[in-house]
Amino acid sequence: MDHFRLLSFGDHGWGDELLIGLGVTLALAICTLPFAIILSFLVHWAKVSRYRMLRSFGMLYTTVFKSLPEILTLLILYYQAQAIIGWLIQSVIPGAHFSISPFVAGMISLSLVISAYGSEVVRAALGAVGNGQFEAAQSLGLSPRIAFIKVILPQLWRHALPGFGNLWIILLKDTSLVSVIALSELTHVAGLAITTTRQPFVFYGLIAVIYVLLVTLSATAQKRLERRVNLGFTRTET
Amino acid sequence: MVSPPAISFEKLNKYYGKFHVLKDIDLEVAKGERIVVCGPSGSGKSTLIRCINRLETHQSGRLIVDQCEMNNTPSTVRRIRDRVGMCFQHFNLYPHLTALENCTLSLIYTRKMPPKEAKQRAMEYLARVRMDGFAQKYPSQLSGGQQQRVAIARSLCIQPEVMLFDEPTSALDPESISEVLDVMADLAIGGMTMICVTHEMGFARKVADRVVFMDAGEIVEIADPETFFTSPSHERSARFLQQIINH
Amino acid sequence: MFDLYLDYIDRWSHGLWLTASMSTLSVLIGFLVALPIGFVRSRAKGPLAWLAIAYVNLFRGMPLLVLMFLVYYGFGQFNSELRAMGLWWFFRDAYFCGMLALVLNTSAYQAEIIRGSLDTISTSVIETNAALNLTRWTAFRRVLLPIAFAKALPPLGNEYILMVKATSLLAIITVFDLMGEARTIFSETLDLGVYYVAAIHYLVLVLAIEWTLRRVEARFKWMA
Repeated sequence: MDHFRLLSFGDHGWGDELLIGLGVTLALAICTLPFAIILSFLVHWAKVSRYRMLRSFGMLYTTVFKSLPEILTLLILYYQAQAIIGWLIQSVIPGAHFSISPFVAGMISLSLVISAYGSEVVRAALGAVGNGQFEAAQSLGLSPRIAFIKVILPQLWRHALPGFGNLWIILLKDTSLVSVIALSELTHVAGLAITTTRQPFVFYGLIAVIYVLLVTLSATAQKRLERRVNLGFTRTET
Repeated sequence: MVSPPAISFEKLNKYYGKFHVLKDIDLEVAKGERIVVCGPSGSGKSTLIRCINRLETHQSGRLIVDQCEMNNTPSTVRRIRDRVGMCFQHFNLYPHLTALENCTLSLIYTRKMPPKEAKQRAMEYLARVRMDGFAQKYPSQLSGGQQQRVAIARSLCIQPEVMLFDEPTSALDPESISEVLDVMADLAIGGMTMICVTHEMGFARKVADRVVFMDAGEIVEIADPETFFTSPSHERSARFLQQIINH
Repeated sequence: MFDLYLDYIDRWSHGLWLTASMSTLSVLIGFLVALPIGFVRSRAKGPLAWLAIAYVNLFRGMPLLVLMFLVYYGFGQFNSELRAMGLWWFFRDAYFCGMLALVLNTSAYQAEIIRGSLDTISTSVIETNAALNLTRWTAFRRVLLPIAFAKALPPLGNEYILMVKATSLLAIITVFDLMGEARTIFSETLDLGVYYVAAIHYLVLVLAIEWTLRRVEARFKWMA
């Protein structure tokens, strides 16, 4: 059938380009996730800090990045960063050109948005671990750093798993937005394929199926992991 | 020769915002003394002992622990915490570590003790609370009473000068209460300075040197157990005793 | 930046209206579509349940942007067939295609919310209904439905806000909502301030909706 020729690998088919696009999608998501998680912790700590300025900053941060559409955040970040860095470089090396990689712009803007939601995952997970654990560590003389690494964190990630698992899925889908600033991830490649082949249904249908598969795989893996991790934890008497 | 007090409160005051939760607390605890703090809920008794290891901060007055005055400097706080052990109502054992690991964590990471030595000391104290057979068990595999005994061993491992107990048996079912109280009585016999917030009046009568009765943030009466339980000098103390004895 | 707003104020207002109306409409229609699906997910077994699961996983599993492209450009490929079926008037219009994509997307999420609100009603409530010998209909209408409604309200409210943000993607299939107007004005002025004006619009809109939602939720919190 004609359609299979379209999707084949090699010169006539778009199969290999789509595969590379899928790779870019996954690379973007995988690179963004650790940043987003670390930022989530930082934003949470800002929101519970004893400095008023940090608390206000944390609140402002989450309000802004939860209220603005992701695509607007992406465009503002992309063009503004371009403008600022371009201006900085111009003042040092006049006439030089510089453009931000859309991959980096996508990574940063997605991290910012995801961490706004992630900070609440952190808050809930810390609440589930409970203050008593930290107090016990304190009264035994453990420094806050050791207490966090050895006592809180091992208990925390079990509670944070569902929340961050869902954010991962959101991240996977949001990578498609970066196609708007011409990153050659899956959606963008499909768009390119369509301009020459004029078969939008085939290609968009295909990538829709691919995304659904990715999401379903992630969700299943998450559920399995949750089940395994919660296996040893039965409710003890309090 | 009179040795300096283990703990000394001088006109200590604490506020939660506008709420005056500890009012002009004056109390001296001698070395080796066993104090039971009791009172109605909200009287500030937990807050009082939590000030001793800086889980709560005081706003005015002085708190001196083992001749070291408590203040905001991290090194002072750490030095005092090194000498004070605490047992919590909800045990607060680390659920992801075994009983043995619970005990050795602080020794290895704060005292920088070599793991072998830490393990040895931990097993000694676990044996003292009769939990050495359970060293490899996780908290979820232990009953409440067993968990609390491990928690006591965990605090003893750092070899404190003072042991604080914040309602250690309030979250236990009746069978477990006595096993924990027995361990605490053993400790008392061994000469440990202890401050215990508890409702267990039988324990207070048997073990305490002095009973401190608190109400609404102030110390109302301090007396030895016999006097306190049979002829309290204040009306509020009498009322409190009436309520808990008529149970 | 203020003149960027004033100079194009009728375009901004048009965009704002379109964003508000499309998000509200899609959430409401999505709710009606989601109701039966949510019920089926919660109660039914067999092929009907599998269909519901497939629907939910399909439209939650793909990015909204891809769904929009699929409906607008994808179905656009079949213009002759659709003309023959008399449906071309729908699928050639970006507005309708966008609405369809939004409704498909939000109905899948809302179906899960409805399912969740039904499933998490504690068994003690159900046992009490049985003990009091209530008929299934009375139990449902007088007890379960109000409780489920109170439980579902916060996440549904959140879904409304997510829809407001989602409408921004319509700009990419050339609908002139808030984001669409912003892109056009940007292409004319090349002034980055245009996007900041759009951002302020969204902030105000979302915060206003959130404020209202908190007040409404507060009334029903005790019922959850």
